[in-house]
Amino acid sequence: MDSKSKKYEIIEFLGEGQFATVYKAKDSVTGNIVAVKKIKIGTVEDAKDGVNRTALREIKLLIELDHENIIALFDVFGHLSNISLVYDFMDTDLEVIIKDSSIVFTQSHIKAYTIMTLKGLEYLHMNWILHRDLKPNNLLVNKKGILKIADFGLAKRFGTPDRLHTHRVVTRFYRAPELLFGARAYGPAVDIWATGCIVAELLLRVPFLPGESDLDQLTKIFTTLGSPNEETWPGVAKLSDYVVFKKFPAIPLREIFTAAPNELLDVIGGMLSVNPLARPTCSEALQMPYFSNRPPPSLGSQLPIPSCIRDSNPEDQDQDAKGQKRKFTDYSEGGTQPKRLVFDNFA
Amino acid sequence: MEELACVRCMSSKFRNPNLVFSFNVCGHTMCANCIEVAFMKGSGPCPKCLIPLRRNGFKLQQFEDASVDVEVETRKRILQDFNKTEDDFESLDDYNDYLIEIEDIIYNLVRNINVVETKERIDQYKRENKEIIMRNRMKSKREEQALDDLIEEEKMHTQYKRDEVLRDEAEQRTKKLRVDSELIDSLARSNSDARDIVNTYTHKKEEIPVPKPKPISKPINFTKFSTGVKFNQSSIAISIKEGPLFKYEPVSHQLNGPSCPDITQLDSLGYMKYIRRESSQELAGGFLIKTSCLHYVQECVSALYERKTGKV
Repeated sequence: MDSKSKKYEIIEFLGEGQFATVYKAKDSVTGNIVAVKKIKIGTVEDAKDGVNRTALREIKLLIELDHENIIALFDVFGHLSNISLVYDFMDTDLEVIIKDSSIVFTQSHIKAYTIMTLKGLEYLHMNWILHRDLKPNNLLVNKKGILKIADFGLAKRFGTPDRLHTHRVVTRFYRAPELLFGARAYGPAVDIWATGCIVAELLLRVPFLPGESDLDQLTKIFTTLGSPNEETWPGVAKLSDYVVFKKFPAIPLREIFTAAPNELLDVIGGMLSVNPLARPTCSEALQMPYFSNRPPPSLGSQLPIPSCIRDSNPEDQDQDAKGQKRKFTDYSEGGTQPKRLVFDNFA
Repeated sequence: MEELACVRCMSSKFRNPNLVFSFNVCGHTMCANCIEVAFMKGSGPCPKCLIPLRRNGFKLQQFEDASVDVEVETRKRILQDFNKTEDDFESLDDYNDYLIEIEDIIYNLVRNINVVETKERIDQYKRENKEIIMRNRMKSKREEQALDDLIEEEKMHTQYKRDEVLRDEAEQRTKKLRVDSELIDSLARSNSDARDIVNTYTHKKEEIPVPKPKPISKPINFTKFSTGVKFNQSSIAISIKEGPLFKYEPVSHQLNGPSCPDITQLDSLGYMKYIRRESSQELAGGFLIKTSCLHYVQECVSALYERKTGKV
């Protein structure tokens, strides 16, 4: 075990979250640049099961997965009472790219990001895994322009009846209405909703539905997309935390996304159906005409790179960006499980 | 001759030569003060003929006779649509007929003869010749632009010439000054005859070449913004290397076992027969029992063919 921790030479400190510290490191055997996430021991409560539960979850699921658009877990090693996870090194994440005002997205860029996200998610769902925490922050992007889904701290297997899941998952802005209504049995549609919010955010460059509390989140959803009734969402009133809302008419998506082509509006409209059963699956979404139409998705090499990593070595500037990012994750955390691995400062 | 007067306050040019008169589509003139007062809301009726008018429809009167102004305005408006040129017609007669028609329309509009009918005529013409109108508009725009470009280029040319002459003159002046100072220098220091020295220097001065007008090299033609975007082109063609169009390729499981039914086949193959239905609460949450069923079927058939190969 000890030999393994020496195998990786730490190059620089990348960031620190609530549950882990992330370093950029070099694999001394292969010479590859990797990211090493060192899980903190945490409280007695966290370590009750021996190993931090989020870390365990992440290891358990990631070790079996192998897809271009899913972060790869290369190695796990322990040192004393610490446990460290070794991943692909990724340069940045989608949140940084969205917030970088010097970047202009073309239709091709948006299409490329959406396709990569959906392909990764399709693979996850096919393997009966719900990610449950999709947000731009967890979609990592490297310099080659490849997007990978990361942070499986909340991911869980699904497709087993009578196994209840907690509804207190997903960062609030990206949380599907059924979760907010307290559904305990749900499916891959929660990830589709989050993806829809991310695509909308790619267009708007700000979070699409930034709720300030769970109730405010629901209000934001229904004032934008129309409030549900038994017809549009059968059985909604049976959900445990159901609250009756005033009738809001839906705002036409065309008025919100003025520059988007109609086919893209179809995709967003489908993914953001309030009724989870009306949302397309990943495979269905990928077969919608928007993706196969012109313009083609950008090649990876043409995807934008945020200014903070474009410059050769702007160390202090880099640190700044990270500080801001951490702050953002802290406050946007709202209401998710206390056991959450912050793995944002990866890039 | 009818005196030029404001229809509202009746003051005329004769009484107040400083008045500024404007007119609107009906041809009645009003002074600037009255327009200010009567059209405070942006629109209102003409005080004389009660036709509804818009404030920004008022044009400054340039001719003494208001009807001339109205005609000029009308003509401008009509010719925007009736913009065919001789090239658009097969024979000269056709073209002349067309010109006569335009004159008829303008005359009718200005004199208020058969206004409704004439307007219909214009609308019909617009509908029938939509494409030609658009094309000719584009063409004249392009011609105007080309003319503008030409003027701009000429301007740059003369500027360049002027700069060159100025530069040459300055050069000559400095040369002369240098010769003069050298002369004074040698007069002060040399031992030879002062007259000789003066003579040689006058020669030298004469030798300074009078700058000939050089053949003017073409000035740098600025066709780009500092960003490198050309401004002469109406459409900016950006060529980006495009990747291939996206084509969906279905992914499938590596089951290492007998093939598993598709989710759509579960019903027809009878798998769903003995399985409970979802509760309405589950349905509302987006949970489908079918997916669970598929999951279990997959798990049942997966890895059935697997043999131990030593690897775990």
